Amino acid sequence: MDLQRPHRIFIVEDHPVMRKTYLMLFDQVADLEVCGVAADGESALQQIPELAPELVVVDISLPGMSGLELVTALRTAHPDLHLVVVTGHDESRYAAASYRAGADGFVRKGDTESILRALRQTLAPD
Amino acid sequence: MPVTAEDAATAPQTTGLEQGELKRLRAENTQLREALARARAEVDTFYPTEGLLYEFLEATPHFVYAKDLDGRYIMANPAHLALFDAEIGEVLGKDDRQRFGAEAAALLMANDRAVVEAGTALQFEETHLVDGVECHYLSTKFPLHRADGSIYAVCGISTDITGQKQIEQALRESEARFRLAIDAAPALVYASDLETDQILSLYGLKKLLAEEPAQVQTRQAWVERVHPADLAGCLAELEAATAAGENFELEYRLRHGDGHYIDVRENTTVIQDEAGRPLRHVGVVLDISARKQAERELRALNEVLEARVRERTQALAASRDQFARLFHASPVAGGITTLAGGRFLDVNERFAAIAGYEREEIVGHTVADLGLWLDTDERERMVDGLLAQGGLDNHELRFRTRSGEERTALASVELIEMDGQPCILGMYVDITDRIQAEQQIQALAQALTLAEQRERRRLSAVLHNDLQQLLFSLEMQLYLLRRDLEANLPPEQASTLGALSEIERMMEQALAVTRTLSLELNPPVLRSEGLDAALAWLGTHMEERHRLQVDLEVADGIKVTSEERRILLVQFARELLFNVVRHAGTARAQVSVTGENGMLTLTVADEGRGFDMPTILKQELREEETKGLGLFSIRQRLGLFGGKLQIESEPGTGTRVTIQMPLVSS
Repeated sequence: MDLQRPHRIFIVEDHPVMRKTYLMLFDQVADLEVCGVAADGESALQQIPELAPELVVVDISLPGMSGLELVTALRTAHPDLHLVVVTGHDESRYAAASYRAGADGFVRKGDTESILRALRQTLAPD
Repeated sequence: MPVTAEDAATAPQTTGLEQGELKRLRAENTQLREALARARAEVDTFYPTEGLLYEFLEATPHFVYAKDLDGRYIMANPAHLALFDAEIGEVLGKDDRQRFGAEAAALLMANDRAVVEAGTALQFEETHLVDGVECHYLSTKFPLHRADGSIYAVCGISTDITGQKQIEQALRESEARFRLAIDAAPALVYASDLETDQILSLYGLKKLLAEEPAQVQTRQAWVERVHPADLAGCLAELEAATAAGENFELEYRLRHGDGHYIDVRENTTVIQDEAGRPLRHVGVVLDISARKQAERELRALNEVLEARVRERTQALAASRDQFARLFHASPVAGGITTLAGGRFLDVNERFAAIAGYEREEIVGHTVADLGLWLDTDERERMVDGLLAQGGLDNHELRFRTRSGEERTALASVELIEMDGQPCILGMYVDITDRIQAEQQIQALAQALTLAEQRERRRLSAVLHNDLQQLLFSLEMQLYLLRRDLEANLPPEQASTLGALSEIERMMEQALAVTRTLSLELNPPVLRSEGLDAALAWLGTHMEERHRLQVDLEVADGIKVTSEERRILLVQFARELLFNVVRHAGTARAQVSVTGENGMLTLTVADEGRGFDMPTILKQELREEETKGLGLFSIRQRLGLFGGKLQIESEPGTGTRVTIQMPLVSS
């Protein structure tokens, strides 16, 4: 990992407060920066090719295309893109579904430390 | 001993004295001869001649014979010879043994000897076999004397009395039979003399009245034994019949020897003289007590029966009146039709009202005439069921009113008899409005379930999409705040970090609560997947959240397409599993689902402590008031969907709750 350059992260989150909070969070974290945000899957699919993030954080609950469908689409279009699914649902079955769809990581909302750890592990698994 | 002429001729010569004596004797003899001659002359004058005697012997029909003292016949008259078809030569010189055999002769000869011994005439009844036939004779036997008085023969005169004996025998036999008959029958036979009032003969008195004939010797004595209440009538009839010379029959009571009265019937013949005057009564009196008793009992029985019939008839009439009043006043529609043909004999006003007719337009017409039943075979099926079961309750049938409106009635029918013919009494409740109301309730219940589910989803969404997101955001900001404070906080304000930790802990709790609530309000699996997946999720959820291991078994091919029914079933299963957690004291439960004939069966069972049904049901009702959940609630909501709930449990044996629900609405 290049310590001088923060990793570019794209956020897909439908809730405006959460989107704003993500921006606040990553603004405070030196190794990660937000290169773009989208409120739904379709918007994300349009922006990501141009913005070329290293990692996309996908909320599983999205209006229209679901988070899992977006993961599937991104995995198909961008095989090397890191994909981490976040969810507010407290159910293990979503984790399995996420990995089946092509996610590299799965993490629950509500524990910021865990989210950051999951993103960093996904970006640098070693 | 007799002296003969030969004896005299052979006498020895006599002496002088004897000659003198002889002379005297000869003189005396001469005198005697002369006296004898005179006597004979006198006899000839007064007695029949020997010729006459001979003619008598020849002509008499009586059998005359004489036997010497050795029993040999010395004379037999023609009648005797003719009797035995014998010549005189065959008879004379023979005794009875030679003529009749030793056995027959013994009695005859014994009689002869008795005569000799008695020296006088004796009378005997003797028997001879003549041509193989036993004949009876009355024999007068007497001795024949010599001049010196000695007996030299026995003479017999016998008269054939066989006919008389036969008559006597027949009479005896007849009398014996008569007595047997009298003795055998509870009857008395009498003859009485009307002039002397004497009872001439009386048979069977002892048997009839246990009295001796000596006690009843006159007609008056008989009359005294007649019951006082019967006497006047009997006497009047008797006198009238006697005067008219007519036979009569009387029935009256007669006092028995022991004092009680017996019932008798007397059949009496009036014997008249040539002039038509009544002379005698000859009658038979029969004991008819048993018959009279039977008649009295029969009469009493008849009276009892008649009384009962009267009572029953009155009761029946009262019952019919009451029935008619109830029938016509009944708020329930009622109709009476003949079993055969279905002709209306009567209907009440309510029946006419729901059918839309006037009562008079129905009575006398058949169900088919009026086209009442929508299904024309309905009545036939109902009659078949009625005959098989004797009655039908709550049989649902569709009918058409006069205006053509189709409605539904609940019929209870039974067989009755009206005026001797089998009929059907039917009571009908129009449940059309109720059915419509039930359908509306069911539709409302389904809508309510969906509305409730929508509300759950909405609440769940609010929790998840808004509240949870805000909490997540808050948690992130707290994270950033902690980072900032840990880096920049002066040591004297270190306690602020403690307060922050407390806020973070409460934040975690708030997140956990909203997560669980959101999930339980609206498990996503309910909408997106089948019943088996939803139940599998429920099993996992119960194990994760409540440590209850759920063994799930869902039969292949179960499809519950109705979302509201699927949601309800999962809710019911969850409630029943919560009951296991709360009451059963076990960490394991079984859930099974089967389906057959459009009916789904969901069973939740455990092997826990079980319960006493009445106690737990009361408890459930109390919980109902507070929580709005539980078995009572399930039963109620299930009923709205046409389903039913069955609970089986006993203390110590676990609990098994079975839910049955139609897969589609009715």
